[in-house]
Parts: sequence; structure tokens; C-alpha cells
Amino acid sequence: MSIYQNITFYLLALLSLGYANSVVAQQETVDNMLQWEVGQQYGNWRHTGNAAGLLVDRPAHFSVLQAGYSSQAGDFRRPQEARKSTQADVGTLGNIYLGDLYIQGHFGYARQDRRDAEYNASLIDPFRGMPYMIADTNASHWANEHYHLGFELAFPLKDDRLQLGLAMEYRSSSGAKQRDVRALNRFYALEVSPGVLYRIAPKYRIGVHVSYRNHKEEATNRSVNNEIDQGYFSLYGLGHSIARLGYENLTTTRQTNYEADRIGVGLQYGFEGPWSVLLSGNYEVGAENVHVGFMDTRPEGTLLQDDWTVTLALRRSQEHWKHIIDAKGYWSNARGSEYINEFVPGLDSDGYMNRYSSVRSTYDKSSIGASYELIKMNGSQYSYRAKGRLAYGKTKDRYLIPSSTFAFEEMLYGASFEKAFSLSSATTSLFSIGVSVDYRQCLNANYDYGGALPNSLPVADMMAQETHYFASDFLTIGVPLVYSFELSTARETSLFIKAHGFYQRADQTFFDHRKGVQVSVGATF
Amino acid sequence: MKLEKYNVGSFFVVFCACCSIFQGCQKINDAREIENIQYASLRLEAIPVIEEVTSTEGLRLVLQNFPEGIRIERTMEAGANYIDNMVPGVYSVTVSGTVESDQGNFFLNGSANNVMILREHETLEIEVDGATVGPFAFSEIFYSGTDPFYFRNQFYEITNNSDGTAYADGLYFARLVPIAASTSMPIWPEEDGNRYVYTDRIWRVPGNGAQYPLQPGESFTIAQFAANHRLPQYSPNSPIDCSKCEFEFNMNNPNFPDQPATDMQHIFFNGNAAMGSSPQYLTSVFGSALVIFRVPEGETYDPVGNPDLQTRDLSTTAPNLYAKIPRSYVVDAVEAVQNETMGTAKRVPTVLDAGITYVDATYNSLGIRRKKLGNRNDGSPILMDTNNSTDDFERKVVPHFRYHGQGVPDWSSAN
Repeated sequence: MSIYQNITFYLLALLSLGYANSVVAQQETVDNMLQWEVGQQYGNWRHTGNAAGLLVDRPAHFSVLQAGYSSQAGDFRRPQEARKSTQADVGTLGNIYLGDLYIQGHFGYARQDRRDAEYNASLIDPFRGMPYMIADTNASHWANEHYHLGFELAFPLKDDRLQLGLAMEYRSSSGAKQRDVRALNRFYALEVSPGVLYRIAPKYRIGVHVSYRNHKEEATNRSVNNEIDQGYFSLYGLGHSIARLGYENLTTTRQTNYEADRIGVGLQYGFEGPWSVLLSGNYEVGAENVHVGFMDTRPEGTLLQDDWTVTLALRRSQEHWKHIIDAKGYWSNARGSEYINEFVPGLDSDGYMNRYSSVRSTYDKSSIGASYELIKMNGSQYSYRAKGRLAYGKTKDRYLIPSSTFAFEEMLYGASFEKAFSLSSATTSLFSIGVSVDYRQCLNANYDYGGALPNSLPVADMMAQETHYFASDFLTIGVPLVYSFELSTARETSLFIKAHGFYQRADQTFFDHRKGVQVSVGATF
Repeated sequence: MKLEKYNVGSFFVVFCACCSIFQGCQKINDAREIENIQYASLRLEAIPVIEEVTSTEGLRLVLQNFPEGIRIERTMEAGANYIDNMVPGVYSVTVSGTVESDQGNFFLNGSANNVMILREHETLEIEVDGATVGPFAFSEIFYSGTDPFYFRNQFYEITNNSDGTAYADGLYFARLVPIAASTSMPIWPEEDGNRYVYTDRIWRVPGNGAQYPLQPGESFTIAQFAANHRLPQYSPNSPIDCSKCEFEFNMNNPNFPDQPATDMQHIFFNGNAAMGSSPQYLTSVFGSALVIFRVPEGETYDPVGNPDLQTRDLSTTAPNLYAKIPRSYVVDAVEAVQNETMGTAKRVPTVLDAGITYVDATYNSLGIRRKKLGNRNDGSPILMDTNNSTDDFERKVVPHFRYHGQGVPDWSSAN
């Protein structure tokens, strides 16, 4: 079955879930977008990755179908980020209780156009933490498509204590860079995450889940204009690079293969009382190998990454108020290994032989943050909600020999407020408007290059821009709007229009601003 | 029924969990075993081949890691030399310079290419021998072509860099394989040892042995196509007009017909004296490895008639035949590659050319030019020839015939 047939199958299945839901629902049902947003935020276990805990959140029946369009532009950006990008997307998600079995699923498709992105000719997402990539100096246009679909399953409760769950997620992307050096990319990721939840006492639960993720990205480079062979760089992190010229594969095509495995484990402890408390910790480790070529494959690099996440989530629900407190700590350590290879010619040869491998770069990141949100409820949706957030982040990347460092520290401050208005006495028509203000303060940003090529473009331009970006303080002002109206009371169906605009102003001489808008229309049913 | 459903679910979840853990482990374990990079060190000893030379003290030692742009330069001490705090990698190692002895001064040259210096206490011995210099030397080469996609203006200027009259008659010209630098190198017969370099095609300057004399500092040029390339039908953006070149590689292409320049004599292609069907003699616009060579008096060189001077590339099943050129015949060699990082893909033995040169792009109308050391009493230029094209050549120059003021031979069409 082709991927498109698969997608069609899943889409139809999910839409069927939504329809079935509306037919058989006996429990609470999401009436509109405002109610759905509160439910998504308030749910505790849904954010842990342990599908066995989904029912603890007592999810209401919901089905959402939406289509959206977004656009953003501006010169305040990282060099590999597009100067202008647009996205059109469509997505659906829903859930259903099949007896005592609970299942929820989602599907989404997005098409992106990213214009004037620099220093990337081999990754659909250049910010996914992979330092080994191809970079050219032409500002380029990327056209990307993304699909994602998945489900989460909570099995029936056994002996009123034990519950099993399973989550699966499939993502597929394709991308094409529209200017020499061209790239044609294909990406997939499959993740499976089984989990278990055990109720120790009526108010106490512990959970554990494991996860396995496999992803692969295949990038094929070529140049259409072979009259002028483009120069390009193999990047190895922190501006260290090898300059290359079109031959050695590019005029004929060059393949770069990224293959990764990632495993993880998560532990959860939950308490249900006046306050709902959930303490969870996740550990994930993964390795991604980078190979050049299909024939005579040459190992290029390996990234080994360990991630730890600790989250404390507190929830309190009163008659008219909801309190949401989240605190999160994140630590990540990645080690980039490089290979020195020798090509061994001959009919019986395996091609490139690895003669030496070593860890040459490390990437350490950490962050802690907390937020508090107060929601004034009006029936099942909010009347208004106010949120404050604070976070600290630190990054220290090092290239070991020759020694280079890139480091920054930042503080993030944010506050938002949204107010909902009922446009009719029967609350069948709702309108919400808000404002959010976020400020990012750079405490320290520094880049020191110790290699032999300080005038190369990846150092003198790409990393210089990157450093300026992270050295910038910036203010982001956002305005969210939601308009929802009930289409059919009997079928509990509402249509909605959502919009979100933002304006970002950088306090830096090298940049000016960035702005964007996102609009979506859809239905909850 | 409920219990059965639960058991099936349990089994499925546990099965997924087990698969998850085992599947991901191998790649992660492999990555965990890789250790942090450590500095490497090298113990290097230069062994003089000439009996009269007993010490290599004072010679210049250059280690280059081309991909990472690392260059280490030292003056050799007597005996073993130690270099520490080296970034692990692939290095080109060159020992060169003049040593004094009771028998006179000797210019010595020795090198090793693609030396993997990866860990501590690596060792290397390099033989240093009297360098072969002249009398002819490539003085300017233009191979990159002109935008858009015009490559017929390639030329090769050769200068008499000796202090005496030299005859171009019978001087051979060849490009070595692979035609453009690649880390995927051919395999040549093991029994050949280090005696040969290998080419797909050989040309020779015609003449009776005394027909094309060159006085010291005079030069001649061989063009791919000896026409005025600035004409509208060719490439008006071309930086040079090759219509006054002395020789050309005429491949009998009716679209680019024979020009007044004297045709080079075709010697070898794929085991035959015939040219084959190629419409032009194109050396790579990325840069080729070029040699000029001469057969010593008393010896014969017949790569067509003598099968011992032919071979296949043993790394493939292709039947193409290549000619062997004895290294001892080579008068001058120049290794041109795509850019600096391709120093790890050298084709020319380091004893003939220890370095690389490049113009960093194709069709950029730029070439390479040998540097000038000084002038003779008559004003003719003396060019730099240390058998190291990294040092000897200026890179990315606008092509210009006889840039250093080389003389024009009496017999030249340029007069």
C-alpha cells in the first residue's frame, strides 16, 4: 500500500471516528474551540507520553477538523531560517470510547514554502540539532511537505488498578531546494511508545513508559546548471567546515543519509486531591549516523544525544476557576563524532574504510522554566485567562580540537491575557481576543573560533549571524483571536475561525524585525 | 472474554516494549564507544638518498592537512624530528631545501602524501633525493574555461627554465588519470611499484630534434584549440586569444577546424595511435594532473607497440587501456585540483610534485601561473621550480601569455 493510500485510509478512519463519536457519544462532548483549548491545557497525563494515563484526564469526546494558512517574514532570523515563509495545512483529530477501550488519533498535512534560507542544502529542518550537513551560500527557496498521523490507545482497566497504553506516531516529509546546489529530501519517523499505569491507592498512581523512535532522512544533491559548478561546504559544527566544489558527486548527485534510533523511558507519579499533582521524568538517548553515498558509502559523522526532562504539573479545578502551574527542567548533552576514512579501491573492496573515529564536538543545553495560568470559567469554556511564564536557558557548544566554543545564556519572560465574549445570550456564538507579550533577554552570547579557516564563510558569515541572533534581546507581541459559533445544537457542532498575529522587534543593530500571521478555519463536532 | 482481550493487549504492549529497547541499542552502543579526540604526534626522519649528503638538518619540513587548512612548518633538526599537538588527520608531508656538503650544494626534495597521523607516537621515514628540475617547466596553465560553459580556450605554456638552449622537439605531454582529482583512485599493477605514472592519452611535440629550439627564458604554448576565442562564434568573454599559440591539440573536429598552429603529434589512446572519436582534447575544468616528459637518449618508448607499457585500471572491469610513463622520464608535473581540500586526492607522486594548485571554481576564466624567482643577466625570467605546485604557483590569475616577460622563440608564430 502506498503512503498516499495509507494516508487516505487513516484520514477516512479518523473522520469515521469523529462521526461515530457524534453518533454514540454518551459522555461530555467538546462544544467549541474555546472549550477544547482549555481541555488540552488542563489535561495532565496527555503531555507525559504515557498513553496508559490518558483516561486519568477524563477526556471529553472531541473531533476537530481544521485548515489553516500562515505566513511570516522579516530579517530577524537565524541564517538557516527563511526570510519569508508560508504554510498551508489541514489537520484532523478525534477520540472515541469503544466500550472500555479508549482511542484518540490525529492526521495532518502541511505544505511550506521557505524563501531565502541560507547555509542548508541537506536538511528539511536545519534546526533539529544535526551538525553534519551540506551548506551552500545561495539564499534558496525550499518547498516542503509534511504528513503526520498517529494514535494513542488506553486499554481497559484491569482489577481497577492496572492499565496499559500504546502510542504510535508516523511522520513523513519531503523537501526540495529550488536553486543550485539543489536538494531533494525524504524523511520519515516512526515512534512507538507502550506504557503502563498502576493505581497504588485511590488517589495515587505511578506510570512508566518506554519509547522507540526510528527516523531516516535522505538528501540527494545535484546541480541543474553544470556550466558553473557551485562551491559548497560540508559542515561539522561551530563553523568548522570543508570547502568543496561541484565535482566529487554533485554534478552527478550526492546522497547524504541520516539514520537514527532513539529509545527512552519515562516515569510518572500522580496524585489526585484538591490539587492534581503529576511529577514526571523522561530520559531519552539516541544516535544518528550520517553516511555519504549509497555506493562506496562513506561515514561522515554520528550524533549521540542524551536528554533528561523533569516536569511538575499542578492543576486545581474549582467551580469557576482553574489553576494551571507547570514547571519544567531540561538537560541535553550531545556528542558529535567524526570519521577519518580511506578509500580502498578494487573490485573486492568495500570502498571507504574507517581508520579513525573520535568525538570532536559536544553540545550541552539546559533550561528551567515555570508558568502559572489562571482561568475563569464560564460554563465549559473560559471567560478569561491570564498566564505568566519565566524561563532560563543555557547553551554551551564546543569543538574540541581545534578548540572553538559557542555559548549563550538567556532569560525569557512572558505574559498573556485572553478574554472571551458571548455574542449571543445562548453562548452559541463566542469571540475571544487577547494579547501576549514575551521578552527574551540575552545574558551572555559568545563565539570563539580556533580553527585554521577564520575567513571561511561558515565562520565569518554563518556563525557570525548566528551569534548576533542569540546575542539579541527581542520583544514579541502577539494577538490571538478566536471566533466560534454553534452550527447544530443537536449534533454539538461548532465552526470556528482562529487567527494569531505576532510582531517581533530585535534590540540589535544587525536585525530589525519579524512578523507573521496564522489563520485557520474549522469545526469541532 | 474480558480477560482474553486484556491478555492480548498486554502481550502486544510488552512485545512493543521489548522491540523498542533491543532495536535502538546497537547504534547507541556503537556511538558510546567513541572516545574524545586527542592530539596526535609524529616522529619523522628524513633519509638522504645521495651518498654525499649525511644530514638533513636545516631542510624545511611542511605538513599540510588540506581539508582543515592546517599547515605546520618547521626547520629540520639532525636525526629524528618530533612534532606533537597535531590534529589527527590526513597530511601531506614535504621535506625540501638546500644542504651544503664538501661536494657542493644539493637541492633535496622528499615527500609523502596522504599520511594518516591519527594517534600519539606515529612514525614516518621519508627519503630525500636530489630534485629533478628542468629544463622545461609549465609556466602558465589555463584549464577552467569561461562562463558560460566554454572550455576550448584551455592552454599550457611551457618555458625553458634552464641556462642553456633546450629543444621542444620530442617533448611529450599527458594528463594523468583520474582526469579530475578524486578520492576514488584507480588500482595499478602491483609489480609496477613506484616506477610509473599513468595516462589515458599521450601527445608529442613534433620536430626533427633541432626544429624548435628555445633559449633560456623563452616559452611556447600548446592550445586545446588555437583560435581567437574572443570571436563572437566562440566566447567573447574569453580572457585570451589563442590564435598565436605555437601548437594545438587538433582532434579533427569539423566544427572546430584545424588552425594555423602546428598540430601536436598524437601518440597513444586506449592502446592505439589513433585518436578515437572524442571531439576535443579536454583536460578537466576542475584541474588535471599534467606531465611533460622526455625519453632519455638511447632508450625507446612505444606505449602502443609495447604491451608492457599498457595496463587496465584493476579497480574496475572496464577494458580501457592506459599508458605507463616512467617517472624518471618526467621533466615537470603539476597537480591541479578542485580546491584546497582536495589535497587528499593527489594523483602525481609527491617526488614529482609535492603540492597542489587550484582556482576554486570552474568556468571562472582564471588560471595558475608559476612564480618568478628573478632574472638572468639578459633579463630573461628565472621561474620558481621546487617540485611543489602549492609553493611554485600563483593561483586564480587572469590568463596572460608570457606574463613574466618570457622570450618568443624565433620559429614561433607569435613573432
